[in-house]
Amino acid sequence: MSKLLEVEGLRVSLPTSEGRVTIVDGVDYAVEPGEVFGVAGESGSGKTISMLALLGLLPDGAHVGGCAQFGGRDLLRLPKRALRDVSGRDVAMVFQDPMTSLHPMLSVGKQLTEHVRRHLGLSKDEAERRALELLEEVRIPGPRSALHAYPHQFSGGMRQRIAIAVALACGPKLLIADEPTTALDVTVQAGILRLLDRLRRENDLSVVLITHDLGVLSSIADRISIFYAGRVVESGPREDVLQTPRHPYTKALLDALPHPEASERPLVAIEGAPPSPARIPSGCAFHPRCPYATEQSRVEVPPLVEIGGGRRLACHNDPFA
Amino acid sequence: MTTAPTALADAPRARRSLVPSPSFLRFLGRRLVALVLLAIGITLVVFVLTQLVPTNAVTANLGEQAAGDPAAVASFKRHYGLDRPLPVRYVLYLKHVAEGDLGQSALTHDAVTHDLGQFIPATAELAIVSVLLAAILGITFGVYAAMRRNKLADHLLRVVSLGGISMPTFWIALVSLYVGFYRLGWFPGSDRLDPGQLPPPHHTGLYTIDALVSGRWSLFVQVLHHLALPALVLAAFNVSLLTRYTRSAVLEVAGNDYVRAGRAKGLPERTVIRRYILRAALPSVVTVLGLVFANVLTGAVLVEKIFTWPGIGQYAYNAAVALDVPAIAGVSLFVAVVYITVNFIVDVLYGVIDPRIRIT
Repeated sequence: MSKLLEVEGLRVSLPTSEGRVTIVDGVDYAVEPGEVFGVAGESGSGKTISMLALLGLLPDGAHVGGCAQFGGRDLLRLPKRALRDVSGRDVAMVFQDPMTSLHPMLSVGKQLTEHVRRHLGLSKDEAERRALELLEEVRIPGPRSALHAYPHQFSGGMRQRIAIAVALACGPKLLIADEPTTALDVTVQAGILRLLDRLRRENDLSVVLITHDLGVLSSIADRISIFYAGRVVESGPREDVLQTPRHPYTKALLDALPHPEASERPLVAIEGAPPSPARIPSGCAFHPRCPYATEQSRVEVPPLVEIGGGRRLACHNDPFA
Repeated sequence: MTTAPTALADAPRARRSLVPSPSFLRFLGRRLVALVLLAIGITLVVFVLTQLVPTNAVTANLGEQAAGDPAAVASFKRHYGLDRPLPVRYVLYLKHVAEGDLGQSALTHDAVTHDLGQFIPATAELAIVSVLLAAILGITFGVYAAMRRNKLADHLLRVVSLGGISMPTFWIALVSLYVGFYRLGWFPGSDRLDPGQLPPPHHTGLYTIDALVSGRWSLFVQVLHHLALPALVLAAFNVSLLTRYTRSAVLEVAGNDYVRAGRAKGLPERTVIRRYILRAALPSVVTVLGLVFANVLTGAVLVEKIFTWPGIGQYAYNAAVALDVPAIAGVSLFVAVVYITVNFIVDVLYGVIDPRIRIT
């Protein structure tokens, strides 16, 4: 099957107080139609920035390199106007914090219809009917009155459902969800994940799910990419990556997950802290925290290579082979 | 905070967004009560001030001969209640204010209310034009500076607005009068109309509107010509103030997640700026606009004096110099009432702009 989105050699650098800093340093990945593609990594690993780059949402002064093929076009090279036609229509985004990602002064109905009317050219009534359907689809109780309500009248979980409805309004092919459950209560999280899973099945939708929580991915992702310090260190089908991790960082992330069924086991943390993007270590960026690091890890950046079974790995030593 | 949306399900299908909630109406009710209490408080302050001013009503109002006659002095004091204790006189004063009687000006020998009616239109016209100028220029500059953040235009506007905030209004007034009127001769130096020009037929007392209503274009232009310099001078500080506040309000809003979300929806940049950024920055701007109104009213005293503008500013100045206590008290009361009314309007506007205040 042909890929829906194919990103190659994506690099992003941003101007900071410490000079120009490379946040994303040559990232490759592909998203298949209808799949949930999980992107995991610690904060600051460049997950979010690499997604914002696709829709040109980076702050002023950002440099973007590489290419991102979507529907036969390179999103990174589209003129602003053409990119705006893709944004919200073919590619939509859901952000982390539903308390801040909806406009507090616009009614839910307005936020559900403004882009629909622009992208699909629907009349006010048609757009409102569509908005009602969407609110029903994301299971907002009393959709008719919700249309005239404002975001502050809803709880966090409900707001995230509204944000998802807004994102789905134009029937996009790709939904980028940036930590959509991080700001929510655990019980609400599961509901949102189930909703995303159902929507992608019903709507022939691909989802890029960004998270720092591998537990979130284990439930719905088809394939997973692990980001570290602006690079992909490992990727592959969900079961394979989570059950037999090959990169020491993936292994360490999994070991750090709390296991409810083994409560007597102490929580494990990864030694050290993720590097600041301004001071990425030489060679393999993970080597200062890696128990398997060798001299080669210190000097040479490991390339991301195929290791069979649809998996890719960036490690010189491959200690769990 | 987390209202159960199920409660909304039974609500009627009206345009809920336009219907103020009971809590907002209660909020407005509280502000209205506060407004009345404030107004009464102001009468007390004004009354106490008039008692503190070192002036003698007898010498100010009676001729030399009458002031020397004890019988005339006593009958004057009795007539004006000056022989009664202070609290009684305050109650009397309140009663007169309630009846619309602010006393008689010692300077014009007319009722203060009559004088105010005479001078308010000139000040109102100057103030309205000045606030409009400040709002249009200040908000435009502020938005522009924010959009061009850290570029040349932004730096220039920041320096200029710093200047505008730092320079005292009387100095700006003198310099612009010297340059605009005396050196260049581009603007008239005083009054609302050219010498000898009769005002347009009275409808509102605002010459711009009266001239338009009677269809006299050349007179309208003349009125604007006279307004330009004092209105600009009065606006200068406020333009700077608004530029700076608008800039920071816009920048604060522009960093919000929902602005990024709006862009991610593929909305045109124009819409993002107007609907997502400016709309959300509006409450902060409205707050400053209330301040601007107060600044214009207080600034009018100096500017009207310097530009010989026949408004209440000049009336207040002349009254102050002549220790014309009833006139000073009348102007103070008027300005204070206008100010608290403006504040009330600002409160209402918050509710109109922000549904989080209107519907809680």
